[in-house]
Amino acid sequence: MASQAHAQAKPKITIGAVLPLTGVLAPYGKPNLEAITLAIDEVNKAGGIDGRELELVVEDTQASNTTAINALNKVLQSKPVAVIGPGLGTQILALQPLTEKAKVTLIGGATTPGVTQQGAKYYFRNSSNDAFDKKFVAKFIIDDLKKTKVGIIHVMAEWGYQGRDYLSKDLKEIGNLTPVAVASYQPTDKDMTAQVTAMTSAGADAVFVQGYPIDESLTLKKFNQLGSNATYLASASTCKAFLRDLVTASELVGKYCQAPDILPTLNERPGVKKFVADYKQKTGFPPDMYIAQDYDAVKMLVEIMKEKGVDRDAIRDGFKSKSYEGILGNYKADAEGTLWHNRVMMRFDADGKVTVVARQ
Amino acid sequence: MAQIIASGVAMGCIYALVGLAFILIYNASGGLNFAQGEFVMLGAFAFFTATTIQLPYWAAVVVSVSVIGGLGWLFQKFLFYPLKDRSFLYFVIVTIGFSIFARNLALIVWGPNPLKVPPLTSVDVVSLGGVAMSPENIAIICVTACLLLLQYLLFFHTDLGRKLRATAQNAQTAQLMGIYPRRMIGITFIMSGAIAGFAGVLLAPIFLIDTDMGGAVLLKSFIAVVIGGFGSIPGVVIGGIGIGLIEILTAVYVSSVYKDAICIAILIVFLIAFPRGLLGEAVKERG
Repeated sequence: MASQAHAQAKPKITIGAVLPLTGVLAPYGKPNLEAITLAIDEVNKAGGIDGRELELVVEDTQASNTTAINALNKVLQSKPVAVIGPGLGTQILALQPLTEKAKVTLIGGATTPGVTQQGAKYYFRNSSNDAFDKKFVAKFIIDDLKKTKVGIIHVMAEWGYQGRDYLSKDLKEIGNLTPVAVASYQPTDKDMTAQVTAMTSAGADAVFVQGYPIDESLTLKKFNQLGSNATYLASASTCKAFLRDLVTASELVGKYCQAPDILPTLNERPGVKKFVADYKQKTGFPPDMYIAQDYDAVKMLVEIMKEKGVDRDAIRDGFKSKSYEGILGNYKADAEGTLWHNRVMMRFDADGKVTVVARQ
Repeated sequence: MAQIIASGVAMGCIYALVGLAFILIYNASGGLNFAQGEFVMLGAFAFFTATTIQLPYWAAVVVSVSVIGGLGWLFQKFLFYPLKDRSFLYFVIVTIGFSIFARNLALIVWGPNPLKVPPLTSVDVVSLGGVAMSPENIAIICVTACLLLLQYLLFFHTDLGRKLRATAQNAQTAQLMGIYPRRMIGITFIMSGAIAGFAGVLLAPIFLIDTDMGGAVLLKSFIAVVIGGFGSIPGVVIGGIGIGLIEILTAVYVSSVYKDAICIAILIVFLIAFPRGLLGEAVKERG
């Protein structure tokens, strides 16, 4: 009883979370918050860190960089030891100057290459770097699929532009190919006829799409509707769309999806299976790879705090040097601060099966 | 080319439908309802809920359209009517506020993840003379045509239509003639809500449902209204289909990057050079 009272008297350890919880970007924040709270609840249930409970301070970034900055300022007032940020490159770029100034570690899954090219010392990407992802895609298209006329469709956002630029560069470097067509769209666009028609008119034999789940779903539907014969490849957003039932297995037959890892629902690792079951029980829907990576980010932060304490610089140093085995796999920072270094290409088959056709 | 035109016409019909809902309220009350896109969005969400409780498809459509029509009436009673004697700016601000409220309410009720409803038919694609269209796109074109015909019959061949037109032209004189303007305005808001709800039902299977889906069509619908001429029903159809075609032709033959910029440029040109639009008789008559 006395020790319990002593544990309760210990100050809590505050972790910040700034995520889009309302507005159009809410699908990229609210489901991730569920995984973050799941991880924190598990840690607290197991006794916290040296008897200190974890406390999560959450603020909403909405769909605006200005709101994101205000949200982070509010969270920083609670003196968090570290902050979990959104998986959106544009918001991470807005938040970085503040976390650098406050010398607090910011962890976010934005794969947009530019976010780790700003010289930020306190930012760590708990997902893959899209610059390497696109090299992997280019290699797969050229070496495995033997395609020579590649078209690119992308969303008009930092994620889409950088994906287009890196894929174009890698196609040139690996196979001396120039995209036969490039088409873009606004994130709010709903009719993709023009973009798919542009690919067909240019004679593309492979089309890569980099967007968000809704627009990638609409592009896929239009691609099928217009009967395009090109091989269809897309970013991990299509995997997210599949997990949310926005596209069906039959619509995806013969299509490829590039992602940092296989769908958690197909992952046989015991930790992932337990996480998927717990997450589904909590939310009613299955988690995607990025959600699982946010869960891993919290657990990695906890391990670092157990080893090095709660000093902000010690946490930063821990993220720089620690090799952590999460539920999905190994996380270890490279020179830029990217923690995750795996990527897969999945193909959706006729019987609803998903096959990993390339892995790195 | 035929494929491109067909897709442009289908999108244009959506803009025309939402634009029609827009101008019904403008004609009846002189108010601009910038929450019209959210009525479309709520129509789609209502349709989703109706399909998840296993209602037959037709019943889900009727329920959703009725609910949003009813919402239109509530909107009129609690948000429009208290402000009717003030500057039109008050109502505009309230509609903008309502649109933010509706989006966040939808987020709380239906969650942040996009939703999907069952397709209209089990057929994915219908080929008409080499043009591939989804059954939903064909339905959009047919429903728009039917609704316009019904609007015409209602306004020009029924007693209710005459009363509605009389109220739109001069509410005070209409009242002297024994018409209840408040009742007529209420009916107009119900009709406007129902049309927007119908647009949401039609869009739900092809757009996927999210809280931003209304915003995607509102701006283009507003441009359609400006092109067609404020208050003109045939004008909004021409404007809607015109903007749908301009949008897709720009995306295909110029660049998808500039399509929205070109649409906005057209809006500005019309507002400056042709403020009455193509068929702005109603505005002229009101003059």
